[in-house]
Amino acid sequence: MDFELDELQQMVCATAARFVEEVDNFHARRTADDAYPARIRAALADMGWTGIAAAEEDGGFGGRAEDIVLLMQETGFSSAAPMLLGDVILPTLLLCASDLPAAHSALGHLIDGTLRIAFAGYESEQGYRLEQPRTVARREGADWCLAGAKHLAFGGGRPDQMLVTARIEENGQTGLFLIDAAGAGVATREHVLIDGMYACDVTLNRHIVDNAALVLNGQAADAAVGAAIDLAALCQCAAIVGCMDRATRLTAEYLKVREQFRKPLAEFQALQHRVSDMFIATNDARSMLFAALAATDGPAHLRARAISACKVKVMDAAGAVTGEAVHLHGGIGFTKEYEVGALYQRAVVMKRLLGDREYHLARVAALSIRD
Amino acid sequence: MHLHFNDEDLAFREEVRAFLQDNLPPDTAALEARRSHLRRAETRQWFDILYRKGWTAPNWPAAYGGPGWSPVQKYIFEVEYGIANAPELSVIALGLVGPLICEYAEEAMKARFLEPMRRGDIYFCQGFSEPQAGSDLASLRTSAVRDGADFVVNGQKTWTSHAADADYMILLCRTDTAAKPQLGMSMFLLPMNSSGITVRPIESIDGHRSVNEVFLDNVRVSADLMLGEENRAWSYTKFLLDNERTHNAYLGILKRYARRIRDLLPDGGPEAALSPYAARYHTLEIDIMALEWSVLRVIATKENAVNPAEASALKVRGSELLLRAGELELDLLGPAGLIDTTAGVDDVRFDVSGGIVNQHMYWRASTIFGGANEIQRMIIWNSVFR
Repeated sequence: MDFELDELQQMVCATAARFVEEVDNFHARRTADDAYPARIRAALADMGWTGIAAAEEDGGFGGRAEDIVLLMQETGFSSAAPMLLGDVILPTLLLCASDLPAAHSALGHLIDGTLRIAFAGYESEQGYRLEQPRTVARREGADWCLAGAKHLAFGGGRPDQMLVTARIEENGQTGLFLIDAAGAGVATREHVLIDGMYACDVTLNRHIVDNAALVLNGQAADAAVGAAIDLAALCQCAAIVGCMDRATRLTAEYLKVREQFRKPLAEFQALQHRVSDMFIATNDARSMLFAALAATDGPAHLRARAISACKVKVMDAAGAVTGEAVHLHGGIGFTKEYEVGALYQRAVVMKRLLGDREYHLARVAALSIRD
Repeated sequence: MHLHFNDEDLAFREEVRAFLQDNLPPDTAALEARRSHLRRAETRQWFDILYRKGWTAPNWPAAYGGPGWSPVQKYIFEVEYGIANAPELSVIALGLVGPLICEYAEEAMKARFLEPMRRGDIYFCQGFSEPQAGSDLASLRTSAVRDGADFVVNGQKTWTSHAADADYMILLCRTDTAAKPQLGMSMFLLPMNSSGITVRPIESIDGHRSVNEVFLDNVRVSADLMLGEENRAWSYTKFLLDNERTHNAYLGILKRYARRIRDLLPDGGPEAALSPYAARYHTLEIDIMALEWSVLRVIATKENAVNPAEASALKVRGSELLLRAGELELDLLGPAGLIDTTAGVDDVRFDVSGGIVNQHMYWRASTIFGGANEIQRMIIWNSVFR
């Protein structure tokens, strides 16, 4: 058993660390103009990260789960993270599961950076359940007519296309449709979440697509959506571990600099111990990434259980660690001018996307077998 | 990265499980499950069995009778051992004194002590802590003054577990009062039948009297029972701390408790799956999983690259989870689990009673012993952030 990074992974991590330090850093985001997101997207494509989740034969990096997780950990606190999570990893995993030409072509454009694709599966009345969506797909001749509403499809904003789940009316199975975000009958409304992520609501009002848009259906669609969401949730956890690392480090640095009562706060043992507790919590959260990675190439139910366990653990720890980081910074931790608050905001958001604690704990329980 | 046990280790795990299944006497396991902290006499039979297998000293170098396991195999053994309700054996001798003797003692001492220790014929108790010297161990005052071929020892030790079972005490004491505290300490193997030693049991909140005060009043100990070099003992305790980094964070015990808790949950379908107790159980299992992988990350690290902060983190988390497991098991048992079955029983004799609450009360001390959790937090701060 070993936890060492291979050479390629070390290189990707080093590149990522430089990127979030020199390019997509907090100051750059604070002073960004409107073209900033587009520049970051272009950079992701240039570095080849838009291909991180696709196998080489699909035109990608060849990324294994561990490579994707490592990248997310390094970039978790940047603006690239939501793009990677929502516009790259999640749609890539779904498109790779289909062998239709339309899917393959869309994947190619996603990887070369010319197409933004978001996954729109959640619906506001369904909570975190993706099975049996209320959005419906009805046959009309050789085409499909889609109707329904999707809730908070997240990513880097303004997707060109969307992967939408719908219940196929004639047989009750799930269909995954690739649709044009600007198509007739498609209305989108974009929101910004508290951590800066974009998420759009989508209304489909008799949106007609041809059969080529149905990239996956039935069991294949359910399985692909389940697997993609699971790996995306693991990536989310990796991003948050990255945020926790940064929060802990920033806090220790701040305590060494900030003086009160005639000395640096770092000389007060109570505060040293609070930082040590942040280290302990982050350490165990990081270990869950490995626990989940170890399960990714095993049976599906064990993978799902491990990832849900990871979500519960990491998100619990994230709230505590990033919240503590804000607290230990005192008043300035509460300002938008200072980075540590943004880490807390990200933790608050990530906890509640792709399933919350209760959802995942229930899934762990349901998937636990008494032996 | 390679995140699975290899085939050799998986086979080893099966071997350990099968051996425990076939050879651990059922009444020993039952006693351990019910009471834990079994006494020397209660584990004699099992000690003999494990000794014949060659597995009583996993921490010792192969040259001195250790089984030659890798860190991963040692870990596998310790976890399966705990799950199977196998009792701890001669912990101080096998886990603490043995490695010290192997590392620092002269040949004569090795020849005299190691094999009997490994066989279970020589037991040790630990004489480190004193009333005034707990976390601040360097401030200890028990002294040993040279007198001819002997040293004369005066002082007092406390929290000495199972002193009555021990043939020897590993005594940490001051041999140079002029030097800086850390540079004036030596270790002796002190025979417990020496005159001038008084052992007084301390009754602890778990109902047992397993810890003791030990008074040392002009006790003579032969100079050839000094372990290693005079005034070098502080560095030997550092060695122990480093050795402890492969500490398994009580994972075997935690998994044992988790299984018991699982079996106490009310049965039911998915509807019943998330009763508040079930939710706490699953959360505990998740935390145990995280701790297990934190342990594996430390164990899999090359010897000289271990992060002391990661090792300290294990001890803190392990103790916290033990307390949570105890709270949950007691909640599930309800008031019946609160009965103190040690009431009226003298711990010095055979003690066949003892209940679950007694076990869990013991673990309240887990945040205190083995390096108090504040010391662990200090180590983390100093090694990562200072």
